[in-house]
Amino acid sequence: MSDKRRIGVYVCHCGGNISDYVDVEQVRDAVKDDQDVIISKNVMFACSDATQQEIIEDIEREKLDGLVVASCSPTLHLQTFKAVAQRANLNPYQYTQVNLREQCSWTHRNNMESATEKGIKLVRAGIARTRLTEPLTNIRIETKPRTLVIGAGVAGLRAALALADLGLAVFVVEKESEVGGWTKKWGKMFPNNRLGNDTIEYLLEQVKQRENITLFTDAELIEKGGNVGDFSIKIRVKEGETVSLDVGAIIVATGFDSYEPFDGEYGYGLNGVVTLPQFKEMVDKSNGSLNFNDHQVKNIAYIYCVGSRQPEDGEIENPNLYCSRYCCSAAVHTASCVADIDPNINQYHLYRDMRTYGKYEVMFENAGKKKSLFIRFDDESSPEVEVSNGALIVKVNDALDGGEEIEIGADLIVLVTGMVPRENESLTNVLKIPIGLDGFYNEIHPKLRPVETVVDGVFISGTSQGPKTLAESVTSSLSAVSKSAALLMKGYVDLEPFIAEVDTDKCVWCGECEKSCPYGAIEKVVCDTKEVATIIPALCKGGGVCIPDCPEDAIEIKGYTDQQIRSMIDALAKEVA
Amino acid sequence: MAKQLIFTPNRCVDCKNCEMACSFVHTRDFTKLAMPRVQAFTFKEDIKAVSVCQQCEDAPCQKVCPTGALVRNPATGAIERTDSCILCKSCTLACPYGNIHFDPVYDEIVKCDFCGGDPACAKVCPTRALVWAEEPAPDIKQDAEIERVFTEEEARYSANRCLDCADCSECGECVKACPADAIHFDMQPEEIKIEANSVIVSTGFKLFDAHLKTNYGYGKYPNVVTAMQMDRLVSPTKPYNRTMRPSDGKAPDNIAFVLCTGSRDCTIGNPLCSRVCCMYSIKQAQLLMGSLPLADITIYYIDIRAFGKGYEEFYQQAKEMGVYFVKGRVAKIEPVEDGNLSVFYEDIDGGSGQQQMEHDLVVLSIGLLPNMDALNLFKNGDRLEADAYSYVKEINEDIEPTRTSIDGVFVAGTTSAARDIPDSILHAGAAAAQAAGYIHQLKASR
Amino acid sequence: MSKVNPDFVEKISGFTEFNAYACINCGSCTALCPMGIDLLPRRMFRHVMLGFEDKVLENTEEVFSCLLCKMCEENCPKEVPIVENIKSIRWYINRDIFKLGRG
Repeated sequence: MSDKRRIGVYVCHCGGNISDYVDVEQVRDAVKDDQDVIISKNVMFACSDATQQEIIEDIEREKLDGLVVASCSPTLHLQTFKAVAQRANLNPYQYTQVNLREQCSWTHRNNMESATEKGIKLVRAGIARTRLTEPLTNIRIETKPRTLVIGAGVAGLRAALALADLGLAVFVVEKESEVGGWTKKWGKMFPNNRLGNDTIEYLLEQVKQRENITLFTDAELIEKGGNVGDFSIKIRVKEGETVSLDVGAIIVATGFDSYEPFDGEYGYGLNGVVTLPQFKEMVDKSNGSLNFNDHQVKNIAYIYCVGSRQPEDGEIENPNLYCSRYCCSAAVHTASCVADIDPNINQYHLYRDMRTYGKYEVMFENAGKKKSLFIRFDDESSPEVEVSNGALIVKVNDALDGGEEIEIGADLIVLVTGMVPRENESLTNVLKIPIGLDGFYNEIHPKLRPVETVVDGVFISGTSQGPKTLAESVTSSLSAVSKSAALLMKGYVDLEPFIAEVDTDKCVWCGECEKSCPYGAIEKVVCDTKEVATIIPALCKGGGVCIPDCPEDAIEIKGYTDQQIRSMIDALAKEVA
Repeated sequence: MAKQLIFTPNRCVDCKNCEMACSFVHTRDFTKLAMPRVQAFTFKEDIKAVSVCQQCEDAPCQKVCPTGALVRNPATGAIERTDSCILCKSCTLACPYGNIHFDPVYDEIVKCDFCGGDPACAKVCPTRALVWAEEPAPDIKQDAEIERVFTEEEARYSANRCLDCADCSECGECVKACPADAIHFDMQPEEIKIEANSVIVSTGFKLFDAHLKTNYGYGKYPNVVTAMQMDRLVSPTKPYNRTMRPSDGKAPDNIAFVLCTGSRDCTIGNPLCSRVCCMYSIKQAQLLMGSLPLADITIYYIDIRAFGKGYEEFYQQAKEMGVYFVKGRVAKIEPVEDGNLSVFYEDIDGGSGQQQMEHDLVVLSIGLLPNMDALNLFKNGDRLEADAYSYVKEINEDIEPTRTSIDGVFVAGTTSAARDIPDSILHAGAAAAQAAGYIHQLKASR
Repeated sequence: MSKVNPDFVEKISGFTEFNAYACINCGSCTALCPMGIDLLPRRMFRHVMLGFEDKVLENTEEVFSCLLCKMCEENCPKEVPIVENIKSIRWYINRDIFKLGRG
């Protein structure tokens, strides 16, 4: 490409963020006479409306065919300046962002001379790449107005309803034979005391009233192909039987497992030592009085943080370091329910930090007012459960009383167990979505993109993402509905055109590239009597793994060609005069 | 001869104490917007002057006043504005010295009244350039024995610290300088009418006012700051590019955080936990560890509520970095020497009862309160139903989160409860889904 | 080693009902006590609620050292009636231990 180009370069001060440490005027002057550079300017804030307008006017007046803005990280403003190019009728892929802030000024605060030199090289590399850019167009994909919801617990059912009410078809896949997940199993749930079963019954009734929801029970997702807006999926409905569907988006609402204590953990396995869900069931089913082993329960000891906040360097293998969020509130709420059944039951809570956050504080207060007693143990001295003369006792050092060792006789010991991630390896492998250090599905960013995953079009909700209360699960599932509905109701999705391209002259079809592609995006075709490889645009992710595998060097990624990368390296390596 | 305000130009260092004192005495506010009756300025580069009403014998202002509102007080000799003033401003034009003004902030005519016979401006003048006396003070070269409040150097230093921040003269220079064309002087409030099918109320929360927790001395002891202020002191763009304490600019080396200030506390009327204070305090502690590596940082808590995704890990990380966590709520804060503070608490973990600990900076981790303005946003008699704590109530929180008592109105974020950012974002996403669903159904039913 | 005894608090509650159940163990009360006694009032109340009778009796002097000044009560974030509780403990000690009585 020996054609003359017309490139505009804008070097940003970022209000001092760059210009305090990089001599931006020197950078501007250094490149102003470089080949094909028509404009080289300093700007105070490149991202400001006024400067954007100025750039647009420059592009139009000088008929620029390439744009370089040397400012901050592309994460922040790549889209901003691509849009600027677009508004000036310049192809957005002929724009290059140079990161002069995170990769230069902020990292070299103590040496302005060297930082400036590096800045010049970075800008020159950007210009070099831009000189070799070609206009590219996005790959537009029509979206299918259907969503797959995995899991028919409270989050999945609620998401299905909301999607259906937006006019989108929904397929709900539930592994169990019954819908409702954990919520269905429970009676009064905090903080509003609605029965879990009632909530599920209500949601299921609503689901049945909507024609555009299809519910599969005893079913599993076994295959996922395609990409955002147009996934082709396969569901196993009964042994041997499968259903194939096209959906535009997928919402994961697979829920949690309750932590199962190991044998002997705080006496687990002894008669009378139960987990919180087991105890909750007893309380829900109790009728007038709380009995265990045909005896009326008089004393209950709760041990908190079982399976949560485990020490990193303790004896437990792969400890759960995280806090399970809901257990403190659930335990004090259950204790209140117990006191309502029989106010004479003595309840002792052995806790570490009482995490009844926000309005749940009131439930903690109420449990106290109903005469629950709270005993704190610290990280170094866990309570011990023993059997003495056939009766359960708990020994604990009360950190609220100078570490005094106390002994509690209990008819029941409730292990306040937390939430752990569902064992879902096969599903995770099908979806190819990442798992965080805590084992729950990982969002892209907890604040900015809390329901999105690195796989476009696959959203996570409810407790599949991390421990949550009932209302929080529903809130997050509705949030996932927002995201998937926004995607599908637009009707199309634009994918970046950075995909592989085969040079048919060079290609000899050896098949290496086809083997290396994890997305099945390469196939063999006949081109002028010659067998060559071709790329399926909708499937190619531009990952580039095929490129080093090609013995003929016949594949390139559009927008990041070998020639472009080499020219950038040359520019970076060249001494600044 | 009666006492008067006498000014000696070569003593004045233009410190503007006279203006500030005047403003404070008349308006209880240190703002120059409240037009002081006395004005210090410099003209011809280095000539200092203070301009104050001469209380002329045959006063032009008095003569032009159509309602006789300017009356001389026989006790002090000052001409005072009385209630019959009709704000015609004739006097301001008549005064040959420009010493009588119309104050647009307080909407009144202002002029020097000798403070009823004891002028504040003269009292605070550090160099005795302005005196309330029968005769001028002796020339500066002749009164070396007079003890001054400030040395000339100190007075100049003080004067130069003044940023004159409230003193816009509408010169328009900033309009020219702003590259983004963001400053407009001619903007007026306007009412915009928008027709909408659905409304999302996301009006946020109110911060607890730390003054109300009187035991902590906020507003009284300069080195007791709120976490909001601390956020500024640890931000990447912090003033002077270093973390310092307010009283003397010293880098603090022993900082305390007081959790649950204004939360979980019936004495100030908020029984709720604010959800965010534990975590933002731990965040600030970690940042302080970075900017002041040698400082000791102590967090006084009742319960550390690190309940969100990754929060417990963040808490443990702070412990490993060396932040001290002390179980025990701070009960009161008292000043000790050098601007330092003593915090009183019970050493619950150590079991040794009442304790005092000295810190050189105390941060109050203030909590969140409902923004009750949200309840009355809707004009036609529709009041949003509140919950027991005056937050906007979500009428069916379990199944229909964000829905309120008014059809088509949804809440997002801290309008309905204290929330951290991740939970607010999720809540906002839910509100968007609810509003979209509501509109879709509305259109379908038409 | 102390064993919890839920019945003990009943004995204390003869005068008015002993009530420190709203306590969240923040320690404000102890921190503000002008007498500066380690056990008063928070830990003393724990001993009552958990039923550690011997610990209450070992420390009768502390119980009677309280000035009933209400500094703690005024600042209690959970509005525990601290002074009434102290009076209840005194009433119990006077009657059951010192055998003082009003008739």
